[in-house]
Formats: sequence, C-alpha cells, structure tokens
Amino acid sequence: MSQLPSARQFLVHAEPGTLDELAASLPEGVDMTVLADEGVILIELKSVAADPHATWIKLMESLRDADWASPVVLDDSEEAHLPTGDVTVRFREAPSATQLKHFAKAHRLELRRRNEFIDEQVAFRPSDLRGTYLPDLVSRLLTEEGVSKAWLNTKSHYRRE
Amino acid sequence: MQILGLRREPIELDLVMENTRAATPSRAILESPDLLDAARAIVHASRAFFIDDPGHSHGSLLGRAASIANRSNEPGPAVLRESKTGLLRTVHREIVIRFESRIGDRRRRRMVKDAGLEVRRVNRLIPDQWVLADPARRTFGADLVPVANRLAESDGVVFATPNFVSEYIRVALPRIGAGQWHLANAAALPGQVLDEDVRAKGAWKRTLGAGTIIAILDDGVDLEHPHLRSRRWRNPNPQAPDQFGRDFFVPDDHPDHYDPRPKKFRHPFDLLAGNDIHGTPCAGVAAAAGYRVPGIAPRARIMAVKIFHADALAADERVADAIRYAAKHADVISCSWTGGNSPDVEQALIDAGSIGRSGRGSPIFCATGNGGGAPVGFPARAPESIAVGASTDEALLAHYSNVGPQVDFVAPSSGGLASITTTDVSYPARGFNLGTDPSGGRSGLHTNSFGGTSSATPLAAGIAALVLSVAPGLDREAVRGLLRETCDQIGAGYDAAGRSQEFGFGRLNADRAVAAALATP
Repeated sequence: MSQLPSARQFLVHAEPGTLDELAASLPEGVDMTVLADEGVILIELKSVAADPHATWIKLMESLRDADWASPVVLDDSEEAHLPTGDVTVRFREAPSATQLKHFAKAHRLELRRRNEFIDEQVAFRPSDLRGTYLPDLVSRLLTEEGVSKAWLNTKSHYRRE
Repeated sequence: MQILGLRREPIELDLVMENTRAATPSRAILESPDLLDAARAIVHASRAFFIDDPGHSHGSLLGRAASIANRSNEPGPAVLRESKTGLLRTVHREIVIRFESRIGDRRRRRMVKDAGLEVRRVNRLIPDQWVLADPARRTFGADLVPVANRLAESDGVVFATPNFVSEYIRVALPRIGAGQWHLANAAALPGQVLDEDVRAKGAWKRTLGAGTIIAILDDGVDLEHPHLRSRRWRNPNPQAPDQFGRDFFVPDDHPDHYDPRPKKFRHPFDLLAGNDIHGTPCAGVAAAAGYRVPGIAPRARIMAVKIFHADALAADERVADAIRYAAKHADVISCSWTGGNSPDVEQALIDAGSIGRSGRGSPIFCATGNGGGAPVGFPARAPESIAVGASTDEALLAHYSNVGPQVDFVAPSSGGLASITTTDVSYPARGFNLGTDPSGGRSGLHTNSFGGTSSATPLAAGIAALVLSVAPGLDREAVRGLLRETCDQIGAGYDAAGRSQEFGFGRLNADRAVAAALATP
C-alpha cells in the first residue's frame, strides 16, 4: 500500500486567473499542463529530480501565486494519484472529540470529517497547506503510537472495463 | 428455530412475525418492507384456513376468519420463513400429527392429552392423521413449534408439525435467447461450443436469487429501465434519503447525491467515453427481470451505487466509502472497473469483511481488467477481492482478459463469436444501442455488444447471489471457496492445486455452485 512521491510530476493548486503568472514564474526545465479542474495544474520536470522534497521547496519559492503544491504520488504499479490536500488517519481506536482536537493541534491540522462508516478513520488538512510537504506529514503521522495507518487523499483515473 | 421433516431432518425456520395482531415485527421485517408486505399478504390470504370452532362449514370459513380477526384479545397467526427457500409459512393454533397405524386410539389420545392438546378433526382420507389444538387457547403461533417437535420425536409418530398455511411459488423460468448464450449456450452460431455457459437453467430449478441484494458500483444504474425497475433495492427505512442508493461522485450535500442514476452524457452517445452507460448493462447481467433477457439472478435486488461520472477523475476516498456503504446494505458487491492502488480503497475492501452481512462479509467481485493478458488490475488483485476474468463461447480465455495468480475464476463474456445481450440505458438516444435492430433492438432497451471483464464480473456476482439465497450463512471466504470448487476446468495450464494463471479455478458453474450451497450444513 505505497504512496511514493513522484520525482517528476507535481500538482499545483492556484486561484483560477493566476495561471499566466504561474507559467511565467516556472523555473527552467519544467513543463506545465492545466488539468480539467479549474485552478489545478500538473507540472512535469524535464528531468528526474534527485530529491522531490528539495524540488518542491524550489517550486514553492518560485510559484508565489500558488495556494499549495505536492508531488504526485505513485502506487506500487507506478500509477499516478493526484493529492487533494487532505490526509486520512486510521487510528487504532476511535478517538474522542477531545483526543481529536489535541491530535489536530499537535500536528497543526484541521479536522475535515470523521468517516461515516468507520469511527477510527478521520480526514484532516494541514493548517498551513502551502508550507507542508505532504509526504513528510504522512511519515510523521505514522510514527504516532495511536495511528494504525495514514495516507494522502488522492484523485485517480479509473477504467470501466 | 426448526421443525422436523418426515425423516426427522431439521428444517430451519426464521421467525418473521411472532404475532401479527401484536404488530411486533422482527428485525428481518424492519430491514425489508417487501417482507412485511409479503407477511401481511400471506396472513390475510390464510385467514380462510384458520378455523375457530369445530363443525364449521366451508361456507362459513370467511365469516369465521373475520370473527378471529375481530377478536382483540386473541393473538394472531405467526409468520415464519423457511431459511433455505425464503418461502413464508403462517401458523395459528393447530398441529397436524400422523400416527403409525400400529398405535391404538387410546395411546394416541393419551399422547394428545399429555401434550396439552385436543383433537379438532381427523383427516377423512387418512384416519391416522389428526389435527390438534390447545383447548385452553394458550398455545399459539410459534409456541406450537416445540410442542410439535416433542410429538414428532415420540415413538409411534410418523410426523408432527404446526399446521402451516404456506406460500407456494409458481415459477415461470425466464426464457434464454441466443443472445444470452452465457446463461445457456445452444451453439446457435457455428463454432460456439455447446453448453459453454454458466448452467443457469440448472441453478434456476432451485433458486432465482430471491432475498439477496447485489450492489453495482459504477457510473449509475438506470433504475427506471422496465427490466430493472422491479428489481431495484429500496432502503428498508422509508425515511432514509437514500431510497435507492447514492452517488458518491458528488458531495453528500449535493442535491444529486441520493440519485444514483446515469447522469453524464456527451456526443457520441453510444461510446463509453464521456457517457454513463456502463453500470446499467452490468446491472442487467446480474439481475435483470426481463422474461426474455434475464440476469443470472433475476429475483435478486439491485442496489445502485454511483462512483464515476463517465471518465472523470474520482476521489479514492469516495470510492472507498462507496464500498463501505454497499457492504452495509448488500449481500454481494460488483465492481467492473480497475484503477490505481489506493490505500483507502484497499482498506475498504478489508472493512467490507466486517461491515457486510452482520460480520460474515460481503463478497466483492472485481474485474481483472481488459489489458490483453496484462497483470491483474486493482482492486481485483487485492486479497479481499474476488478476481473475475473472462472466457468466451468457444471455451477459450478472452483475448483481453488479464492474467495472474490472483485470478479466482472466469465467467463467459465477449471476445469469441458472440458478445453479451443485456439491458441498456433506456433514455432516448442514449446508450450502446441508440435504437437499431443490429445493436439489440429498436426499443433501445437492450444492447447485444456488451462484454469484457465488465460483463463477466456481475455474472459472477449474480451467481454468488444465487448461492447466498440458499445458503445465507456462508461468509465471504466460504462463498469464494464454494465458487472455486464448483468451477469447470476449461482451457489448459492448471497446476496441481487446480489453478491456472489464465482461468483461475476455471469457468463458473452456477448449477453446481447452488447444489453445493444447498448441501452445506
């Protein structure tokens, strides 16, 4: 159940209407594709980044009009999944409202929603999405004793067979 | 509870309604408005048989029944359901007993008196057979079952059971046309292999899938289609907003969230790309009610769970929750799609094992994919999924069917000489068939070009529904095991364990599967 950050593709969220400025501020060696969703662009590096995290930092420094960005995540079949900005935590036991509040505060998260069907599963969003490298956030959450699993929420391509 | 059959074999019964007048329906009733309607109908129909006083005449039966109904201080009939067949049986006050001829009258009457009963009448054709009741009017309905069982176990008694008024079903089995060779292959086309099908006819002699629910997770199901409308699942809670299913592609607070029908269409309207025309054919393969174009489980219910809007990106979180939602209500889940490996979807497949069917788990059937022999796609390759590939009417693996160690079995689909005929979106000028004879008929209600592992998957899901309709106690792994064990090995490449990378354990055989299910303890 892997979600590896892509060394080549990044997803950038920005206000619609700022895409021209974004395009102008892209560093060299980067192609940009505007996805169907308004305000979401896919950035593809012409060469593989040695360190996706470092590349992300540079991107955020360049793209001052971007709301937030994240590397696209790849699964174990190397299929791409596009982060939505949310992360999901599966706790070992269903947390109380107070426990959730403390957890969110400790990790600088905002509570998005408790899962309708599974009490132990909760979706969050970083309070500072722009300043958060999402793959590292998941890694940190997984070190918490009460956390069973954690993953980035993503959108994906599905094929009707 | 159980009664004893003629050979002392146990016949399992579920108590549906203990006392119709007290109106304390069981959980089964609360979860199924259809069951409540059926229970009321059989009680109403059975009133003419519940005779209050001896010496009645047939002409006064209805009057007697009315007098029973009007007594407010007397419990009404109890309604039970035979577990294996789903048929309803009502009982009010009487037990029928058959003595061995060697038992004398005095001994018979002592047995009757010891049981707290009296003789109401003797069968005119069989003097050894008596009808008994409690003269004090204290023992009614389901309370008669243990009394009857004690009598049945007595020496000198051939049988003893509550005197049921029972539901009998006259079944007109669906007709299978040449376009539905996957159900019964008559080799109508040169080159088709005779009987290369799932043996629907044999299975249908025992069950049509009544009492089961199949969830179709896809781009929507046309619930107004004339051959699907009567099969649509309805939420047992009449106050619930999701009366027929949900659309998880849109947010919960979206006005369309509780409408799981196809919504996205764009020209050209007969191509899958851009159009919500996939889920309706899948639903039809599983459980269409059409007399001439039936699904494999034509009396199962269809639960529509929309997760896609045509080809648009879908949120994995929503797809995962759709699986959990389906598991909450459905016995079987059918997923004719593949996608990337999502942790949430993978977790949902696990969750369905505990959410579904009171912990027995909802079997989830997933298409291996149409990648032309590529590795099995996700979610089919997940351990909790049941991976379904496709075979053809020539008893070969369909050229597009993905392969790998995860394949559980194959089901007949396109890729040979013929494709699959099934329901098509009924909206005017929408669907694979825009209304021409060559495409499946001018009505546009059916398409004759469906197929892929997309069609194989709901076929397998429907067979599972047939199995669960006669053996509802099986957990999801038991269902998988039973289906595997009853496959027919077609093609080649089977290892010592009987498994093939291409065919899994073989091509599904519904007849053998249902027979095996009936034989389970």
